[in-house]
Formats: sequence, structure tokens, C-alpha cells
Amino acid sequence: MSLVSLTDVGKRYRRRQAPAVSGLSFSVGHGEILALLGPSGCGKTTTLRLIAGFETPDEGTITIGDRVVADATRDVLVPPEARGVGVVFQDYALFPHLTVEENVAFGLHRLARPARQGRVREVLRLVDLEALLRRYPHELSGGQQQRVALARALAPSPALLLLDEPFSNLDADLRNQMREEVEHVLRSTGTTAIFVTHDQEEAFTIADRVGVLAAGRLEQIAAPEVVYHQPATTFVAGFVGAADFLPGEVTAAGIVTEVGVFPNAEWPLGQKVDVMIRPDDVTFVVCADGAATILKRSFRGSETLYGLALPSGRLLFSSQPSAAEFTAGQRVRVDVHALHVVTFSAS
Amino acid sequence: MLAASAIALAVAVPLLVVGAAWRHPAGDVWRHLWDTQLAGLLVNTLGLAAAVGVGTLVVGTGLAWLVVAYRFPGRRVFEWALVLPLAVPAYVIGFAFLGMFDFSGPVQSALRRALGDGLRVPDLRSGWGVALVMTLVFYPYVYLLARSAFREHGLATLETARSLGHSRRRAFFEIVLPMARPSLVAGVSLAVMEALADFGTVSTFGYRTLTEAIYRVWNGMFDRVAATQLASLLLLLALALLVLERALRGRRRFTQSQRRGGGVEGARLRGWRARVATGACLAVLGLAFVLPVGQLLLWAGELVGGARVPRNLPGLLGSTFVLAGAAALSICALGLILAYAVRLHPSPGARFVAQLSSMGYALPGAVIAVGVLAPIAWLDGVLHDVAKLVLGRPLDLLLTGSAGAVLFAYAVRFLAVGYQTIDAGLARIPPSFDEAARSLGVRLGSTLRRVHLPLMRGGLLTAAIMVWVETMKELPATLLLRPLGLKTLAIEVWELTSESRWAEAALPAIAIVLVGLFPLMLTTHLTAGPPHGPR
Repeated sequence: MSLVSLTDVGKRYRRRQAPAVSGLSFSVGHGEILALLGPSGCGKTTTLRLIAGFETPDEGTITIGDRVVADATRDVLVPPEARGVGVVFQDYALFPHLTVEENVAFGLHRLARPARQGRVREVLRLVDLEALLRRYPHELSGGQQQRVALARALAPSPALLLLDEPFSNLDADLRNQMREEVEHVLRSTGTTAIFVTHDQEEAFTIADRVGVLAAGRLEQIAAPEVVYHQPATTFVAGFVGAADFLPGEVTAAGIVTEVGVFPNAEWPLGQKVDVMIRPDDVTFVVCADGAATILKRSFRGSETLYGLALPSGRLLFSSQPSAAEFTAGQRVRVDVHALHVVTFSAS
Repeated sequence: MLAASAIALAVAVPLLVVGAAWRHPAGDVWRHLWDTQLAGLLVNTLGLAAAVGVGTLVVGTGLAWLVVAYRFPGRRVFEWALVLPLAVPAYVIGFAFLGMFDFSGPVQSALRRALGDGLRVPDLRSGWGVALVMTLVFYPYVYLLARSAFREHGLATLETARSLGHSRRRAFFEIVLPMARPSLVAGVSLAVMEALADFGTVSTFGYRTLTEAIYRVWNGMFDRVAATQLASLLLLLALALLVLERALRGRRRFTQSQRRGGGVEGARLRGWRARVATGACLAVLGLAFVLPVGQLLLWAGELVGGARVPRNLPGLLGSTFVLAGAAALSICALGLILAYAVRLHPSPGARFVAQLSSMGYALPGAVIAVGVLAPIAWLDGVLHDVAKLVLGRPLDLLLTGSAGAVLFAYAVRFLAVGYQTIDAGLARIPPSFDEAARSLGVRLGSTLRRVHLPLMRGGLLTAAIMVWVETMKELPATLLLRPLGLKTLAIEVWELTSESRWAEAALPAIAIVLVGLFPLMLTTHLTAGPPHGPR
């Protein structure tokens, strides 16, 4: 039984312009954390705003719990304040004229005073901010503001929590720490959450499932491992990690490419396909009569990325542990070991 | 949104009324005007506008460049003090000048004592006199805008130009000045707009312009049609000015340079150059503020010393403050509704509605007064009929000649002041605040009360004070529409000065000046330091 579901949702901001999102269908189960991943302008924030009720869908229906909150065909539209959805904003949107305590209590106006105070303390304890009750937002660090924003959104015990690029305003060190903390809070409270990000690492580490959006359409929605190893489209393949595509032809022996033959499971004989190859699948050995040449080398810290020029002139990337060192110009023999062979029909 | 549209529509009605003036055939008074005076009126009005435009451009730009680009004795004081004339309505400075330069006034008396009786002083009651007074009063518009433009990019640009081999003078005329053009045009058109709208000064100086003719035709000849037709001419001039302003501003958009001129110090002037700079600032400030206000204080001192303080002064203060207060409250409420509607529905339609309701600020008070009366009279007619139907007896005219009509005119004229100040305050609140509140289960109305109002308290207060002060200084619309017996400070000043009773006019005039200093202090205070921001 899912908590949130979208069916064929579409939204267009201006007529005669491409829709911000279209044909969007997915659902999120109780206690699940979903990441919406995509480049800027792909419609991920619009999706979040549609669920929160800040935007009205032009097509489709949105259901939260057992209630239809938006149905474009039947003109059903539940206003945001009646949806029971918490939102953590990219800029946190803490009210500057209210203290931490008052900010967190803002959404608890229906509770009596003692109950309200108890709840405020409870959520502030959850995010470890009890000591800063009387501070104003501008007296807090970025990470503390983020935690207040989370506490404020969680205070009314929303059925669903939406987070819009929640970590983008933090610097790299703090970002990792906050990721863990936020995930811990969400897991320990059993909160169902959807968060939007353009950072695949962030999506992979926190989410149970990742939905990849491109140009307003959902390209794939699956567990992080599946999205990475078995991308549904070339866009997903390229967006969730580096990938090269080598042309191949299906023969009786398998898919023949210039770096070797891959097993074929689905394609008819003679089909032209592109084989996805990730840099961590590619190894090579230095060899005087090797067919490929090391074209460039870029040091990445824990790994080193080598660009290999194949006989056809195509470039294939290979990531190697930093310990091994090769130099540009060396001739090499290329070996590809793909755990999952991912192929797309060549256009 | 509905409320906002209703407000905009109501406020636009007077404009339409004046615009539609030519449905009526021209009457006798109009034909008489046409034959005898109209050409002269137009020449006078346009000539005055042109003279004030050139005068304020030269004085305002020159002083602004002086205080931004150079250092000389007194510069820090002049920098803010040169704005002071803005606090004094033109008609107050005007009558102070007339009093000073009167035959029996201090200047001519002193000259006669020194040089003998045969002396002839050029008469101030002329086009040049009016233009001089208005230039002195309205140059701060140009000064303020030019100063901020120069501060923004002036010195940094000057340095760049000079590093490329331009002389200071060439860099100023070929680069700094053209870059500041949009600001200069905006400043000059504000000044010209004020000159077109002025009624008090021209009538005290006996200089015939359109505003003054509207008043004469209305109050002297009781010909409302002709007055409306005159008003429509004035309206046309005001609109032409708006179009001209847009055209002169050009399509160019000047992006603000990242490199602020703030860190760059002006060049130090020495010797006679420094004395000339100080002298120029001193002369303008002296003529435009120190001398006239000093004269007012002298007159007031004589009155107080001779125990001849007018007995109606407290009552006058009371009625003026109450009327202006009512205007401030109602206009701020309307402005808040408009601004909030635009925030909730940021569509092109809503923006248009807001623009429409801000039009009145460009219109002379006399035009608005004429335009307000017709719909008020119509409404009275309707009320009259309804009352006859419901109560069985007719009602007296309820609205015409009531404070309601005056307040309506104020709303048309000053809604822009309230709206823009409130809108600016509201715009500083990020939209995510609204969404945060609503996602926390708080409705629109409560969001306004719990989030927006507390955050924009300062902006609202500023708006109220600005409107309060503006309405207190307003003369022509109040004069044309006021209920019998209602007097404000401005009207008292005008009535006394039109009978050359200078000294008696001094006390109410000083009250107006004191009130006018308020928003100046407020804005310098507000621009001095940033209020504690959201983050």
C-alpha cells in the first residue's frame, strides 16, 4: 500500500512552451525515502511543488494516503495547508522574526500550549538543538539552520516530508555530516520522504529508490544499484556515472565490439547496438603491440582516470587505483569485464 | 484579486473622466479662454516646465558630481544637507522669497538704505522668478538620483577612463554622464512633473499656468466642463512627459558594475577651487533652504514675540493631522491589498492592475480633483435615488463637498507612494516563507498576520509616514474639493499669502516644513545601515 501516488501528472507553466513535467507516474511506500534526481530544469522541483500543493497540475491525479489531493479532470485541489505535507526548503525559509522555538512551534497552532511546548522540545531533541531554543535564525550556523528547518517541518508529524535540494547550501564537509544526520532522523521517525537533488552520490547514499528525471519525464525509478548497473536509458546511464558507449553488432557468438565480444541475451542477429561501458569495468596492460594508446591521464585522488584511444579513434575511459602509474603515449591492450552488460539499440 | 481590481478601477476613474472631457461641446467660457488666454497659458506652462527641467538638471547634476567626485571643506555636511529643500513645499519657499524681496521686505529696504531710493530691482513675480524658485526646490530630485548613479559607477568608471588616457573632463562628459542618463532623465522628469502640477507657487506669484487656470475657471466661473477640458490638456502634458521619459531613458540597460565606487575617494580640491566648490553648495543651500526658512522663523518670532499667534493654529494642526492620518491609514490599507494580491497572483494582469492604480502619482492634483468630482456627484445621485426609494425621502448631497471626496482624491494621487513602499517591503520576503507557512498548515490570512505583517512593519510605517506627509503638503486637490469650512495648514498658508500676509503665514508654514523633514530623516536613517536581514 503506497502513501503517495502520482498518475499521469503533467504541468505546463506557459502555453506554447515545453511542459515542465508530463506523464509522470510513480508511488512511494510508507517509510520509504525516494530521491528525485536530474539535471537543473528537469522538472524535479516542479514535481515536489505539485505534491506539496504549491502548483496545480494540468493533467493527472495526485493521491496522498487515501485522499486525492489534486485531480486535473475533476477539479479537485486540496490547498497546501490541508495536505499534511512537511517541506524543507532549499533556503530553509526560517522566519527571521521568530526564535528557534517559535519557528518550530509555527505549525503547531492547533495544539494547546503545554502540548505544543512538549512537542517542540521533542523534535528539537531529535535534531540535537535543545540548547538553542531562544536563538534567532541569523544567530545559527548553516548546519543548525538546516536542522531547525527539519525540526519545524517534522513538528506537526506530517505523513510525508519533502526536501528540496536540502544540502546544496552547505559546504562539502558539513554536507556529508548532515546527510547522515537527516537520514538518521528520517529513519528513526519512520518518515516517508521525497527529496530532490542533482547530486547522484547524495541520492545513492540516502534513498531507498532513485527516480531519474530528464526534460520533465521520468526515465527510470528503481533501487540505486539498479539505476547504476542497469540504467534504462542512455540518459540515465550517462547521468548517474561516467559511461562510454561502443558500437557493436549482434552475431551468433555474441555482441562484437572493438574491445571484445559480449554475451547477447535479447537482440536478434544483425542488430546494431551500443554497449555501455563504465570506467571501472575497463582494465588494461601495457603491451608494445597493443591496439590502444593512452591519450591522457587525470589524477583524481583515490583513483586515476585514463583516456584510451581505440583503433577506431573512439575514446574509452578506464579508472585505475592511484598506486599504478602509466604515462600518456604508452600502447596498451584493453580488457573489459562488465558484470551487467547493458546495451541500447543503436539509433 | 477582485478587491485589487476594484481598487485599481476606482482609482482610474478620475483619469477616464478627465480624458473623456471632450464629449461635451465646448461652452462659452471655453471659447472665451480659447480666444484670449489659452495660447498664453500653454506657452507659460511649457516654458516653465522647460526652464525648471534645464535648471534642475544643471544644478542637481553639478552638485551631485561635486560631492561624489571631490573632497572639499564641508562636503560631508553638504552631501545630506543638499536634500533639505525637498522638505519644503514650493509654495512655502515661494512666499518666503516674495516676502524677502518685497518692496517693504528686508532685501529691498537694505538696498535702498545703501544705494538710495531710485533703485529698481527685477520683479520676482515673473516667469523667471517662478522658475528660479522651482529650480531651487526641485533640484534635489535630480541631485538624489544623480548622486546614487555616480556613487554606483561614477568613480570606478572615471578611473577606468583615465587609465585609458581620457582627461577628467572628457571622461565625465563622454562616459560618466551618458552612463548616468537614465537616472538623470528620471530625476528631471520628476522635477518637471512637480512643476506642471504646482498650483500654490504660480498662484502666489500671479503667474498664469494651466493649474492656476483650472482653479480660476472652477471656482471663479463655476464652469466645470471648461475646467475639465483644461485639466485634460494638463493630463495630456503629463502623459507626454511620461512617454518622453521612457523614450529618453532609451532601450539601454545599464547593469550595475560589481565594482562599487564606495572604496574610491574623490579628488581633494585645494585653494580657490575648494572655495568655489564650498561656495556653490553654500549658495544653493542658502537660497533654497537657509534663507527662506530663516525668514519664516523671523516672521514667526515677531508673531510670538508680539503675542499675535493666530488663535486658530491648534485647530488647524488638529484638522490637518487627522485628515492626513485618515488618508495615510486608508491608503496604506489599499496599498497592502494591492501588493498582497500581486504577490499571490503574480500574473501580467495583476501587474497591470497595480500599474494602473499607480498612475495617479504622475497627475497634477488639480486634474485629479476635477476627475474625482464627477464620479462622486454621480454616486450622490444614485444614493439620492436609492434613499428616495428606500426611505421615501431624498437625501442631501452626502459625498460631494465631504471629506470623503478629499480622501478619494488623495487615494488617487498618493496610492502609488503607499503601494510602492509596501510592495518593496513585501518583495524582500522570499516566496518560500509563504510556502513554508502554508505547508505547516497555516492559511493565507494567518500567514499575512503571522509572517508578512511582522516582517514588513518597518515598511508599513514608512509608507504611512510618507503618505501622511505628502497629503499634509497637498494643496490644489484639497482646495478644490474640501468641505466648506475645512482648513488645512496648506490652505491657510495659501490663503494668507494670496493676500500678502507673509508673517501670519509663517507659523503654519513652519509646521509644514517640520513635518516634511520627517521622511527625509527616516530615509537617511533607513539607508544608513542595513536592518537585520533574514539571514
